[in-house]
Amino acid sequence: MKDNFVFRIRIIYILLFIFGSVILTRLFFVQVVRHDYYKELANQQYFASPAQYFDRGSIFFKDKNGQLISAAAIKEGFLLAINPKLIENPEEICDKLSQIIDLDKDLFFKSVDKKDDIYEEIAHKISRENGEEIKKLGLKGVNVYSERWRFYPGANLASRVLGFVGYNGDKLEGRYGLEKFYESVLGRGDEGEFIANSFAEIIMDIKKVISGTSLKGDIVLTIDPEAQNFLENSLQATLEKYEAEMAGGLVIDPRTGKILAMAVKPDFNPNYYGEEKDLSLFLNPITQNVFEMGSIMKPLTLAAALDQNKIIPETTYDDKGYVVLNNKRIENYDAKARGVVNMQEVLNQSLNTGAVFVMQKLGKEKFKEYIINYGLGEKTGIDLPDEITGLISNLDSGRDIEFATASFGQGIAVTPIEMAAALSTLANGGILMTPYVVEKIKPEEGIEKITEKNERRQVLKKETSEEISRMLVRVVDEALLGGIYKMEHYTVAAKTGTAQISGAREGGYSESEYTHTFFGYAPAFDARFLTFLFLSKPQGVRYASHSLTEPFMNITKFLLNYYQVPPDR
Amino acid sequence: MRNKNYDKVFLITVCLMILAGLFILVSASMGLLSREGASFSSIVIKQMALGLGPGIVLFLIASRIHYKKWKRFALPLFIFSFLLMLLVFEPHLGFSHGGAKRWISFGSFTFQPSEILKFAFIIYLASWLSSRKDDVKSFKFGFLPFLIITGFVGALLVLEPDIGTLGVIAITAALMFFVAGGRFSQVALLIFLGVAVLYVLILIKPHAMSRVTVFLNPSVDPQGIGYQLRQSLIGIGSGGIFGRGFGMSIQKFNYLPEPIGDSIFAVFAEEFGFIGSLFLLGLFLFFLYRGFRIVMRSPDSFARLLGSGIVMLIIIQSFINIGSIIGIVPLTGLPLIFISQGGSALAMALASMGILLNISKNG
Repeated sequence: MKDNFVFRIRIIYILLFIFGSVILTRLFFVQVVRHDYYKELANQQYFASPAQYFDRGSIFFKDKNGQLISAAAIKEGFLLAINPKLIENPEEICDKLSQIIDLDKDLFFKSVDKKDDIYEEIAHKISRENGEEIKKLGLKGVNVYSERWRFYPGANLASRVLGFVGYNGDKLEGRYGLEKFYESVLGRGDEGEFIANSFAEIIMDIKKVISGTSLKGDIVLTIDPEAQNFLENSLQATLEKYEAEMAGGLVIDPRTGKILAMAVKPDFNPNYYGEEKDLSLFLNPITQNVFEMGSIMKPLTLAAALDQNKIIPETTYDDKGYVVLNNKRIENYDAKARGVVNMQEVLNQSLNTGAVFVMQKLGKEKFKEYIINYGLGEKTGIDLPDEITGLISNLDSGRDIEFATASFGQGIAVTPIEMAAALSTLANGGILMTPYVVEKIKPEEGIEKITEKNERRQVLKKETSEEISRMLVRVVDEALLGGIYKMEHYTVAAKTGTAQISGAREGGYSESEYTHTFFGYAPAFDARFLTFLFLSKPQGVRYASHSLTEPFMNITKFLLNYYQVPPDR
Repeated sequence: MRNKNYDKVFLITVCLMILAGLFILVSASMGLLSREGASFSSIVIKQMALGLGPGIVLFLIASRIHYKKWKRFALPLFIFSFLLMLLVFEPHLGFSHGGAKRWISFGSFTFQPSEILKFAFIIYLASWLSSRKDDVKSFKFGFLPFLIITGFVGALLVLEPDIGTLGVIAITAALMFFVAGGRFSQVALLIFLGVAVLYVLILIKPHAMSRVTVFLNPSVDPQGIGYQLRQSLIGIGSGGIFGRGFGMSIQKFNYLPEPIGDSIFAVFAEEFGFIGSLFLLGLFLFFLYRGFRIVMRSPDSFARLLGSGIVMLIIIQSFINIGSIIGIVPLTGLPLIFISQGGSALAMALASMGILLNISKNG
C-alpha cells in the first residue's frame, strides 16, 4: 500500500516537475531568447504614451451671462498605426481606410514598404466614431490606439490670443499666446518622465505638495465669445474690403482693464497650426508690433495740456497750415491754413499745427513726462507672452521737431495694447490700468484665483478726463464724416488717425502706405468699453475716417445692444 | 510514537515565499498609485492586517492541532464552507467585482469564501478517501460518490462564476483520487469528463470563451481581450535576463491590468528578469519537493492524502497562474499564492502550512 502510494506520488511529482519545466522553458524563451522583441514592443508602447496620456487644463471664454464656452480643450480619439510586416493587400486596405478617413496615401504606401518595422503611425487625431469603424473592419496589421490632443472648438476664433500647443523639441507645450503664458497653470507635466523613474516622480510629487508652488487648473478668459466674434467679422470684412495687409483691434473695459475682445486678421486655425506657412501669424501684433499711431495721439496731447491748465477748449491759435521746426516743415493733412481756430477744431479737423501748438504750450519736458506717464514705451504687464515696449527714444534727442511730430503721433511707435491702455485714461477718470485677458484660474483643487484689477497710476485728473471726453463726443457728433454717425441716445467719444509709414528710405515716409487707426468709447462719460482698431496698408482709401468709422460704429452699436447699456442722453 | 521535529527546512521555505511575496507586492502596488489613486500603503497594510496577521495566528494554531483531529472536523467544516459559499448569492452580503460574485462583505471586511472552501474540501476529501480504503477502486462506492461530491462544489463555482478555482479544485481532487488508489481507467475517465465539462462551459459562458480564444490566438485584438496577455508578455519579455530592478517595472503603471492580482508575476518577472523567475520557480519546486517529502514520510493514509492535497493545490494554482500569465494556459484570474494581493488566500494558505508542519512532526 505504501509503496503504491509512493509510486503514485512520484508520478504526480514528475508531472508537476514537467509543468514547472515547461513554464521555465517558456520563460527562457520570452525573457532571454525573445527579449529584444518584447523590449522593442515595450519601447514602442512607451514612446506612444505621451499622446495617449496627454493632458492639459482647459481655456474658456466667458459670455455676458457668465456662461463658460470652451476655447481650448482636450479631445480624445485615435491614432492609426500599421504593422507593415502583416499588411498583405495594401491597395485594398488603402481603399477601405480612405472611405473612413482622409488618408495620406503617400505616407501609407511608404510605411507599408518598411517591412522591417512593426509599428508605423500613419494618421492622427482620428475621431472616436471613425476609429471605432476602423476597428470594426478588423484589417490585419492595421491598429488604432487611443490618442489625446489639444482641440480648439472655435477654430480661428481668438487664435492669435490663444496661441497653440506644439512640440518644443520632444516636449508638448504652449508655444504662443495664452497657451505659452499660462504654461505653468495649464501644463500637466511630462508623462514620459515618470515612467522612466517611478520613485523619483513620487518624491517630486511629495515635494510639490509640500511647497505648494504648482497652481494647476483651468483658465477663464475675460474675452466674451460674442464680442470676439463680432470684432473678428468686422475686421475680416474690413481687411478684405481695403485689401489691407493687416486689420486688428481690441475692446477693453477702461474701468478695469479687462479685455473683452482682441483679434488681428489674418489669423490661423490652431487645430492645424502645422499647415501654416507664415509663422508670423502666430504672433500677436497687439502686444508684439509697434505702430506710429497718427492723430489718435492728439487727444493724449491735448489732455496733458488740459491737465496742466495750459489750455482750455476755447483756447485759440492762428493756424497757418504749416509749422517749421529744425528746418523741417510740418503741414496739416491738406496743407491748408484755417486762421484762428480753437482747440475743439484741432480735434474736429485733426490739425497737426494745433497739436504742435498745444505741445509747445505744455513744454517739451512736461510733454515727455506725460508720454511716459501714459505708459507709452513701457510694458503694460498684460498676461500675454513676449510683450514688447513702444519706441519713444526720439524724445530723448530734445529736438523740437521730434516733439512736434510726436504730438500728432508720428516719430514714436507704440504697441496697440500700450495705446489702448493710455487712451483708457481719457475714458476712466485718468487712471492707467493693467490690461488683462484672464479673469480667473480655476485650480484642480482649492479656491478660484480671480484676477483683480490693477491701477498702475493716476495720469490725469478726473476733470481732465471728462473735459477731453466732451471734446471727443463733439468730434463724433459734429465732425466725423460730417456727424452722420452721431447716435441720438448715446454719447460716443472717438478720434481717427492716419499715420504715414516710415518707408524704406532712411528717415523718410512712404507716400502711399498708411496705418489707419481709430479709437472710441461709449457711453463717453461712464465708458463701458473702449474700442481700438487699426488697419495696416489699406488700398484705395486715404483716411481712417473713411475706412474705420463704419466698423467702429457697428462694433459700438453691437456692444451697447449686447450689454444692454441704458441710453445716456 | 516517534517524536520528530518540525521540518525546519520546509518552514524556512515557506517563510522565504511569504517574504518574497510581500516584497513583490510592495513594488507592484506602486503601479496603482498612478491609477485609481489607491494608496499603496493601504494595500500593503491590508495584506498584512487581513492576510499575514490572521494567517500567522491560523498557522500557529494549525501547527499545534494534531492533524488527526481534522478528520473529525472534516465534514462539519466542509458543510460550513459550503454554506458560506451560498452566502455569496445573498444580495446583502454578496459583493461582486468584475462580473463575478466571489466575495462576502461584513461591513468593510470582505473575504472570498471559495478560499476556505478549497481547503475544507481537501480536508474532507482526504478524510473521505482515507476512510474508503480499497473501496476507492470500486465504481459504485468510490468513483461515483467522488464525482457527486466534486460535482456539487463545481456547480457552485460555475454559478459564481469562478472557473479558475473550479479548475484548480477539480485537478487537485482528481489527483487526490489517483493518490488514494483510484484506477487508472477511472482517472482517464475523469480527465475525459473534465475536458467535456470545460467544453460545455466555454459554449455557455462567453467570458470563458473569449479567454480560450485569446489563449489559442494571442494576437487577436491587442487592445481588447488579448490585452492582458499581451501586456504581461511585454512586461516579462522586456525584463530580460536580469530585469529592470526592484520597483522599476514600467508595465505596472497604466499598462498591465491587475498588477497586484493575477498579473503580479509579470511585474516580478519584469523587475527581476529570468534570474528572478528561476529563483521563484525554484522556490515553488523546492516547496513541492519538501512538501512531498513530508507526505511520503507520514505513515497513515489520511496524513498522506491531506498533505499531498495541500501541496498539490498550492503548486497547481501557482503554476496555472504563472502559466496563464505567460500564455501556456488560458487566463483564469487566479491569484498567485503567497504573493498576489488577497487576504483570504494568504490566510488560508498559511493555515494549511500549519497543518503540513504538524504532519511533519506527528506523522
